[in-house]
Amino acid sequence: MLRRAVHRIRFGHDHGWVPAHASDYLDGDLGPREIVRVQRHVAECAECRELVRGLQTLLYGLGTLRGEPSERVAGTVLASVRSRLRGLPPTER
Amino acid sequence: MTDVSGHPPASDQTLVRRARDGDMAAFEELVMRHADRLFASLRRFGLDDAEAQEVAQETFLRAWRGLVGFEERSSFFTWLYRIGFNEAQRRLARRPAAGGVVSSELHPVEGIEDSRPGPSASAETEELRAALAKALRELPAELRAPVVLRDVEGLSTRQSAAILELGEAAFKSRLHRGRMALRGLLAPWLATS
Ligand SMILES: [Zn+2]
Repeated sequence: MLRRAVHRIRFGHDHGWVPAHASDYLDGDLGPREIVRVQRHVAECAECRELVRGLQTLLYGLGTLRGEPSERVAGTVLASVRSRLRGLPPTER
Repeated sequence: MTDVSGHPPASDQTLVRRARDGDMAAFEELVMRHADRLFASLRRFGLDDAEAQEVAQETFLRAWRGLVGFEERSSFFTWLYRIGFNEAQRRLARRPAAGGVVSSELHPVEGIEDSRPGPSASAETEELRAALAKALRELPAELRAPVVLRDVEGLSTRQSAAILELGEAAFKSRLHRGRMALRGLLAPWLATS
């Protein structure tokens, strides 16, 4: 009986705590005890499990955007910078 | 890596010091080294091609003028991005649609018009990517910037926070809010069950 009540209270606390720390968890910014706290809770809470998995997928997807080809502009940027700096002193002191 | 002469390439720090002494070639080397990546980041932050190119140019001009005051407490790269993202944020804030949007007004991403399957990624990943790019544009700039720097560009928390001139705790809090908002926008894509 008491055990059950304690479990319910802990579950309630963790259910608030885990979503607030899901990013820290995924970024590796939690200590060992906090990691256990997240893992213990998501094992028994479908909602938080879904949240952590969703964020994980999100982070994976965002990382893939980095690999998308982008225009090469360095030459153009350089030409423009060069033309605008020509005639200026090295640095405006 | 070595250059054509067989010497290892000079570090940013070396080039910065030379540029500060008036060595234009050293500064040009820094432009060539960082312009493409800065441009790509500015695009992902929400500027269009022309704006991103303009901001990149402006960033290097300001960097040149500011070299004397650059104290090397941060890396040249971080400093450059700080100048670039500041300018980008100013421009985005001037846009009529941006700035006033709060999370509750965001609309979930549904149809994606511009999903083109690529040769390497699966169609599913490609669709998720297109949805992500669209959802990112819906985020308010102050939440988008942390997500772009940390999660898309893959910079460290420390670097990203320094670029945005935020403390690490404040940065992390915005990053988390940004991710949660994206998750809300992409709910149909992220559901696992
Ligand atoms: Zn829960």
